Amino acid sequence: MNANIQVAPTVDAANPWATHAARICAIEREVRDVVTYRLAFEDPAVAERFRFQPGQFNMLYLPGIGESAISISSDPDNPRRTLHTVRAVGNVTRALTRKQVGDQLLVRGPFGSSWPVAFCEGQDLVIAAGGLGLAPVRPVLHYVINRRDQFGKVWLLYGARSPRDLLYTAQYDRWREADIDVHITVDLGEDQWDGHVGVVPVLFERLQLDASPRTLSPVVRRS
Amino acid sequence: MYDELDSIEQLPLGVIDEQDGGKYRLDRHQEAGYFDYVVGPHSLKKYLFPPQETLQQLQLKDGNWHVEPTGVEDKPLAVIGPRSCDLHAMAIQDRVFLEGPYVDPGYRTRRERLFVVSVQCRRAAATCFCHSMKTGPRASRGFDLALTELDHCFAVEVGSERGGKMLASVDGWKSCSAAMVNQAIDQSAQLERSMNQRSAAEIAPNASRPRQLDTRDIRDLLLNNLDHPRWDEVAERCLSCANCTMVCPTCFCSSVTEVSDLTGEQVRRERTWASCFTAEHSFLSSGVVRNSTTARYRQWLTHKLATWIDQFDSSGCVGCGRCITWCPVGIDLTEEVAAIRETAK
Repeated sequence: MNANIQVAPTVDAANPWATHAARICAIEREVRDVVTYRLAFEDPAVAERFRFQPGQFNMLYLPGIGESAISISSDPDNPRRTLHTVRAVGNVTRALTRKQVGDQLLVRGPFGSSWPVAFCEGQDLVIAAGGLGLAPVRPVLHYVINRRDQFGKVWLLYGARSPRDLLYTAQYDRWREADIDVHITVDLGEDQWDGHVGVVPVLFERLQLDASPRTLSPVVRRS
Repeated sequence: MYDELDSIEQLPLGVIDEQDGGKYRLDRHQEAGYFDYVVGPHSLKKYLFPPQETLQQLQLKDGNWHVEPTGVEDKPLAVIGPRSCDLHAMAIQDRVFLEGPYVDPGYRTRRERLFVVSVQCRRAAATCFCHSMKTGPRASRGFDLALTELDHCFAVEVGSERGGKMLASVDGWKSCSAAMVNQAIDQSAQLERSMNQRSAAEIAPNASRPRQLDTRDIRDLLLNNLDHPRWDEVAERCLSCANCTMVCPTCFCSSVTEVSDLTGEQVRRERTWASCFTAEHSFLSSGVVRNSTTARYRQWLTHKLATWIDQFDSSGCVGCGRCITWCPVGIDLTEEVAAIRETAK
């Protein structure tokens, strides 16, 4: 495994199958079919132990229905406030949409590898994502903003199918204030849209990024 | 196959197996001993990574889910008869279930209680190619005790402290003479020599072609030939039945199924063996990734022999030949690799 990639251990180191009860504390509708859930572990000891690296995911489990791997889309420096942005596409994610604030679900994790954020410190960084793919890279943005002076120039290139599919639009200004060069594109523009039209790779070419030789290859996630 | 034994009379004394592509026959043979059959469809896998296992049981009480203990069978278990290839396969599965970032707790419990009495092979089936994979025929590690069948007795090697204690608690054994030790080592050496020579030797009419696998640069050979026409040819014969993955002692894929009672208040999570030859194995929300038998066979073989090396630092094949024997149409991976090598890019 790449030495640059850090993996936070699962909450239950001895048993990756062990699930932990969590409550839905808040539900936020993002765009069509996409909802963000804020979860809190019921057991204070579990909440205390839980850590994750940017890019890792949790298994969200609805007993009798199944479990689904969902990226953690919140700030890795604030692991008690865990957000999961979910698009309803399968059995589990559709059943999840019927849940309400206060309902219980079971969680195990975190799992998976992570973006090599510590390795990127001291360098320029291009973050590229499409559609729902912004959810797993949002922890990278948090990580960068929390220690902004450790990074050189930082770009976010993000694209979605249409303006209505753009995720986390309310936060773009905050990211720009933190000196992140945010560029947005959509596959299909609408009447009110005066931004870029085209897929993210086209954005790369169009922007002619003024990057130093030390700029790291982009972080790309497909939706 | 493996099953519970009550007495030594149940061992298949005088029975040998004849194996070939899609063929498994048992025969009586006058000179055959207790363990002169080689490998059947079962391996140690089913005792460490059971075909079906309950991972979790849950009950809904007052609107909350309660996890009930499932309990892993932790009675000590001794398995008599695994060969060198199977010990290597177990070491490969140890890497998967114990030595990665996540430890499988059920596997670990079963592994700790397992006592292995290995057997040194005296013969090889036509499907055996452990000599090519450097996984046999002589078992050198991974056992508690290893038996070598000699003319009228067994030579026993001690492979672990537990094995030594076990042997010390058994009455009626004597130290081996130097001649017996030599004979035991010689038997394995002779078998290895004959396996190395047999591919060059002339084959008697109606006899099976003994297998071998040229592993030189096999990773690059396969990964540089992902578009080779042979993948389509083998897919014409392959039934995508998954037998090869079920009998393979290293295949480790599984899927977890929710089992619920009618009220939905009692739920079990069942883990069962899965196979890359099924459609659901590569099902993502956007659809099935590997929709053709070509893609599935290629995925299996390139993982087993090539990308396994990237993932686990060793081949995923131990040369036991089970996938050849238990393939209903007799597809032989050694033949497939040889065909690709012959006309490789």
